[in-house]
Amino acid sequence: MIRYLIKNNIKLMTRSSINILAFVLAPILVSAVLISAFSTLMEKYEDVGTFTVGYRISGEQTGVYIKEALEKMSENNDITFSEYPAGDIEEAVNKKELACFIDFGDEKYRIYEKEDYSIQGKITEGIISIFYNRMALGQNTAKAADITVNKADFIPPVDSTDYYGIIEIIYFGWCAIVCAAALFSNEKKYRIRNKFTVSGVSEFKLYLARFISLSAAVLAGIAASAVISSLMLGVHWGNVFLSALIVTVSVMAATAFGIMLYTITDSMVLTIILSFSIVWVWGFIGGSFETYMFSSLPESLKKISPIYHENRALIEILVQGKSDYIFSALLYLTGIVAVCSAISVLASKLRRMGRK
Amino acid sequence: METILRTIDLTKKYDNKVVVDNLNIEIKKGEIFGLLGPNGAGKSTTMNMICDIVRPTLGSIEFMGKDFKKNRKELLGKVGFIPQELAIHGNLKAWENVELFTSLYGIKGNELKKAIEESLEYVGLSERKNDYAKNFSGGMKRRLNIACAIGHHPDLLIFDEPTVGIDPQSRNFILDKIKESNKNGTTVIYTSHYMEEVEAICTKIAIMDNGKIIACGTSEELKKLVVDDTESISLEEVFLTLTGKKLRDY
Repeated sequence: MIRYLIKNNIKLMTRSSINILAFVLAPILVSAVLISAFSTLMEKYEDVGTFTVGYRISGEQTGVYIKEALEKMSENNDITFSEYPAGDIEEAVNKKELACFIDFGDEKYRIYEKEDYSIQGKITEGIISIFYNRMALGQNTAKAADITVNKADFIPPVDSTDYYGIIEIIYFGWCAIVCAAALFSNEKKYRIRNKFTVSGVSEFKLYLARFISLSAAVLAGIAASAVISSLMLGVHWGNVFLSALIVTVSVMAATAFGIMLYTITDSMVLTIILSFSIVWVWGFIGGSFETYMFSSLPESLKKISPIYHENRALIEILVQGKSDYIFSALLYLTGIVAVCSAISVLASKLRRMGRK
Repeated sequence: METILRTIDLTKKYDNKVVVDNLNIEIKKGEIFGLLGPNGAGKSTTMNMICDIVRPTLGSIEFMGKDFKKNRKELLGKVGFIPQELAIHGNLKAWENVELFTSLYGIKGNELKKAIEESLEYVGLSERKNDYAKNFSGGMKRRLNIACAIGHHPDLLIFDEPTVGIDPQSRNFILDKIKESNKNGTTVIYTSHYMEEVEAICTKIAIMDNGKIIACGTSEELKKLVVDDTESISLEEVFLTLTGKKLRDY
């Protein structure tokens, strides 16, 4: 019985140009803006991996302890130090395999950094600087060279294109109720609901028809958006099946949440205000604007947001191929679907009884 | 004639205000029952109770010999409701609107296709079935509104002011169709503020005021309540005599 209702609801939602704008084009535009705005910031946090640093000992007094120090630094970090004792220094610096070059003199050292390896250059500069500072403080060579560059393991090496390309799809999915705004408002304005009542169709079936059709329409919109942004902006999704599963459940949760707000308030304006406010807060603490990796908010606060679990799961699936957050994201979202659906059906039954 | 619908002490109160007061009406199968009354008389509330949109405070409704409350789902399937509002979707084509509302009654597949075709044919919109409802004139929308309520072949059709704001041709068409449905065995409850319409099509008329039926009978019987010479008085004059000329601002 409800398949015709679902079919026609989907037609009504997908025939709206506002919905196409909101769920297909808007995520691409917002992603593009954020990708551009945060590209430089996120490049600095790329995982540089293993790299090679060339060096030459020009000073007469430094030879022994520098070699010992470099050996120790190499043990602690993914850096290989390669000596170039002779030949033209400029030629050595320009060798492709080298990220940078250090010329150790007696009183000073000089680091030759390269534009393409600026992060590696900064890391090398930092290590050597710390080493000399420690030496100046009277530490022995082994202790002074015991330096480890800390890599924050929660910072995945993701660039802004992939990060915002994925995250904004999720964020717009959470605004699902907008897609049904015109349909639900018309049903109320023209008392189409009364015709549903007269037909004897149950509140549960009506809810199911709304839930399925709205989820399907929003999913179609953001799926199109994801495909276009992949082609146009070069966004990657990692494990497509797993990512699609999370996005689908996310849209279902957003739909259930939006319908619940509308059923309780019986006002589309109020629903949109409430929905946008809550989703904005979830997005803010969950990494939809500032990346969740660099956010200084406490982890416990971030975990309140379902968007955080989804964002983290999707980004980690992309960069690591797995994530500890897949389960928590799916559990959280499924919980939202179940609770919001139950409240919606109950509230609409109570509303019908109350109206009577 | 067999009674198709009976209300027994039907009462509706909103807070302390009695909107429908111990209403007892009996509608026979095959009748076109006109329900008249000034604004706020309780007509719409009565119809909403019959359609299960509003629950009675007291009393009961019997439909086709069965208690409505106990057999709600079964009996609702035998009712067609044409509301005063144009309860259609502008962004759906005519046939899609009919499909949506007819399918709610459990009709599907080929039976649904046939019902859509028959309903649109019935209201003269077959030629325009692929047009969006938003592009229709007021009269066409009214006809589509009817088509959406008849696909499941109801035994009782309830029209709530179906001719508001449309041209005489469309009105005439709708009234002819109501008579045609009635000839085919459908019982009709009809409300309107147009007295000549009610007089032209209704076989029995009830006048409601302040939640109660103050007069009920054929047009002739109602006129006789006021004057002996029924030729000299219109139904509107009878209505105004019985309900008064005081404005009803609700």
